[in-house]
Amino acid sequence: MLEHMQQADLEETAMRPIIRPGQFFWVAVASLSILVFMALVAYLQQLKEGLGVTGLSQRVSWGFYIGDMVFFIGISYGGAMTSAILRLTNAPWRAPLSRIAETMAVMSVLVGAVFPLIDMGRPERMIYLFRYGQVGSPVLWDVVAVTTYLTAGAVFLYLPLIPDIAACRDRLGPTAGRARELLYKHLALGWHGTPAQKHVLEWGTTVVAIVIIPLAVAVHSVLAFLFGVTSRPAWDSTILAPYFVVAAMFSGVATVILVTAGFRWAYHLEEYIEEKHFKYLAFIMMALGAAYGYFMFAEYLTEGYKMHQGPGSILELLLVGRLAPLMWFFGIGGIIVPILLVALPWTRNIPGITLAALAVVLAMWLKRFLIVVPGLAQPLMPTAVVVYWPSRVEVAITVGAAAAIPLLMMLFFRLFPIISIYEIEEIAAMEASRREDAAIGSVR
Amino acid sequence: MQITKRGAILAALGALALAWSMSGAARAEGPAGGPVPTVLRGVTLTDQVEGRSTMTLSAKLSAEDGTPSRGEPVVFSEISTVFGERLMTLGSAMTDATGTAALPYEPTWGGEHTVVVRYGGGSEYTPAQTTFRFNSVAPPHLHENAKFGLATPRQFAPLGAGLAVLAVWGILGLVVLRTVLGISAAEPATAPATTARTGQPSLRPASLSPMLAALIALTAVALFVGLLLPRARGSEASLVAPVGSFDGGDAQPADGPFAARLVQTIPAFTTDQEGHIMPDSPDLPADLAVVDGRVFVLDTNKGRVLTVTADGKLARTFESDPGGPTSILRALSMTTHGGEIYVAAPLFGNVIELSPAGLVDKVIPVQAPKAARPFHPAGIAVTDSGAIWLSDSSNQRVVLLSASGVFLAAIGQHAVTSSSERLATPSGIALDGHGNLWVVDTGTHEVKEYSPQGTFVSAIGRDDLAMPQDVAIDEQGRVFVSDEALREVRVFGAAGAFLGSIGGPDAAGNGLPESGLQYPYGVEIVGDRLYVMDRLMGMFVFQLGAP
Repeated sequence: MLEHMQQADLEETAMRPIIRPGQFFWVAVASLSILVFMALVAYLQQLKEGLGVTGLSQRVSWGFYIGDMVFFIGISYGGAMTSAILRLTNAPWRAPLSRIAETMAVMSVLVGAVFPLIDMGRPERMIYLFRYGQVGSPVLWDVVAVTTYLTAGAVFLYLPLIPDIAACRDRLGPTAGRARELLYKHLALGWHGTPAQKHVLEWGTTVVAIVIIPLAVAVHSVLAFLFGVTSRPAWDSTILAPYFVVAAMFSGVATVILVTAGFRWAYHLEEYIEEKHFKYLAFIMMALGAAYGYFMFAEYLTEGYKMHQGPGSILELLLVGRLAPLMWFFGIGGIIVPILLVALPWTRNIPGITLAALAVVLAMWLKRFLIVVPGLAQPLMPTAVVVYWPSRVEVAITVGAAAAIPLLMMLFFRLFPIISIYEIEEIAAMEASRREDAAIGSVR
Repeated sequence: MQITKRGAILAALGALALAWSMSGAARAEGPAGGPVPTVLRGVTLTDQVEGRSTMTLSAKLSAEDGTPSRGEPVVFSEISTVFGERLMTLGSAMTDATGTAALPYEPTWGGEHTVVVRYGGGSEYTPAQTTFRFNSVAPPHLHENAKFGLATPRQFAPLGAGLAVLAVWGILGLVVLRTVLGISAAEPATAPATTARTGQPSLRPASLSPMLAALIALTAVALFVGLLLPRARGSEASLVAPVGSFDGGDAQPADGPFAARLVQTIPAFTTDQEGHIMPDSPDLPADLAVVDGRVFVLDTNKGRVLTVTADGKLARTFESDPGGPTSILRALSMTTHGGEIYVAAPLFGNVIELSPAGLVDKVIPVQAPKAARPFHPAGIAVTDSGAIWLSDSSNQRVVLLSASGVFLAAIGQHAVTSSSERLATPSGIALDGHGNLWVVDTGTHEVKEYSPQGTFVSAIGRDDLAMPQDVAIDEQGRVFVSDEALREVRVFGAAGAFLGSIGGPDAAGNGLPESGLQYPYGVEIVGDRLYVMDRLMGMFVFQLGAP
């Protein structure tokens, strides 16, 4: 009886955004929609007037947009990796987090994948990539990798969702409305939780979790090759691919913390997402932050030791030049302070960890900017440095894209449960069985 | 008869002067009685060596009687549109014993190439120039991977990556298929406890058809994208199309010439003896205008207006400050009205009014409504009342302005279409005797007629033009259209009937295809004379009605 009550509570909490979204939902959706709409208006202006409305120029042809692409696809990686690794290692605490992490992964890669089109100015020319694409070019492989990753992410989100969709089907029934009823019916695939169905689902989810980890590594490596195979001084580095992978995980885990904190607060998920979940994620974030800091140190030390004087010295620009304030803000605010916030016991709580995650997300976005722009702004010949300053159009599109991710997630959770009912139940049943076995063992 | 001392001195001086002048004349005439007229022709191309994109440009220099000219320098140039239309020198070569000069060349872009070959002349031979075109139909290799000895890994790396991607897609497909089928197949016949718990009736088993349909549709799309879309153009095609294969659309060069006789030519370039363009030479002049019998030439790439002198040379009349408010740099069109010259200046999008003496009388700022792209007028015509028509190619419109530049009306505004009523790429424009406006629409290969109020009347030449640039109408209402691709001027009746063509490759009528029209642009009719500005070959004047 008690078990059934707990189950009912869990379903009630998970489906609350579906059944009774509340006023907050509509206010948040309206606010985010306004930002997305402003981004669309800005993009239409760019489409009409051309890339001249941006701060991009012949020399600095990659600016906010390409930085945004790397950032949004990067945070997606964190979501997918967190869920996949925790699933494969069978970490029992993952259950309440996995749905948010997986949804964030899909939505952010969806948003990030749009940026190359925005950056092109003439999006219809994307077709040329398929018609005239060079198989030796990272640009072609980047499109292939991101598309594959997006598909795998969608499958990885969908499979564990099937039992919860069935729960929606069974609980809501015709009260959900004809369209949703049909949606739940078809997407649930006739799930009733039989052992054979559970076996198939477990197999499928595990295989996709295995596939998605190297796939995500590949996506970020190819993304790094976009920069690394060119002869620009800031990008000409062999360490760039692992550097990008770690950066993606670092910023991704931070985003998972941030998004989880936001949805936990907004949808009252405190009962299921506890402080310990934040602490576990924070430890992962801290380790990744330390790894990223080490990579950065190794790269800069190697470059700095053989640094050439003159206009090509990016390092000088970043450490003591015009961009030094941004760079040091990143180093201190994006790595050292978050690590301290997590390491110190009196700040290792939900507000402290959320603050650390926010600092990491902002700093990592800034770092993408510091990777993309200075490499182009610095001349290869002894000519003037080009100053890039984003226009209002670029800022509006970036802000709109950042708003689109929580908006898409909220709309998704308006249709599907925000936390994985099935996984929480399964893990709880497994834990109970283990405890029972242990009790029997001790009696014997 | 007594010969005075003074007379003797004068006689001696006279004899000396006579002897000097005779010897000078003899020097000027050269060993064969004067410089031998030369012919630069027989341009040939060799296809690129297999696996490489290099090809050979060549030209043959000979005397008029066919005797090869050996050891003479010939300069090859090409019209480049990178950073504005200009002549880009490719290199020079000496003619061999057969009179052939050859230059290895690697095209850096695909599509049409226009090559200009010049010979500067010398003590024995007269200068000569010719042009030819070819298409490089395959995109050239802009980038070649560095040769670092890893050819085999580089060759197989994409294959390996492609197989890995296919494997991932295969695994994902397998997982989805097995999960979908497995879960559906394992569905119990009766509703299990989980359903009974909720008190909701169990829905009937989900149909697989939507999922399978979605999978089939996705597969079909993937197959379409992967297999059916055209492969990279030119991967199997030759880099170089044969000479004369220039794609002029459906229109073909006319068989029937229009009765006209070439009466004057003035070269577009002046070159030194090695064939290099002189610093003061015109540079791709685009248009001309006639004021009171004086012919003015628009020196486009130098932002100047030149006058044709009595001895058939080009002399500078007006030179604009290239970056200043009166700049006419890159201007493509000019016209006359009331004894003044009007130039459509693209740099600031204004109109410069010049006196025949070369003085700026007025700068007319254009106050047209803001459009999507910058305003760079490509054609100009002035009505009897002084109102100004300007074609705005980039914004697909033609605007009508008052004499002071105030916007009055527009045709085809913001319309990107190939239908006759609208404009795609309006270029040269002209007014006929009724005040009707004729607009060359290069984009739709037509010339469109509009009433003085801007109402569409008719369109002509759709099947007879390839790349029209400018238009002129004579007193009889006949329409003369210069066509850059067909390399001739085509003539139409007022009702649109094709009457014949003027010029063509053999405009000079000397049987030498390389000496005729190569890049006709601006056209002007004065009385029974047709003036054609060829951007490469110079000015051609034809007497109409004469065979």
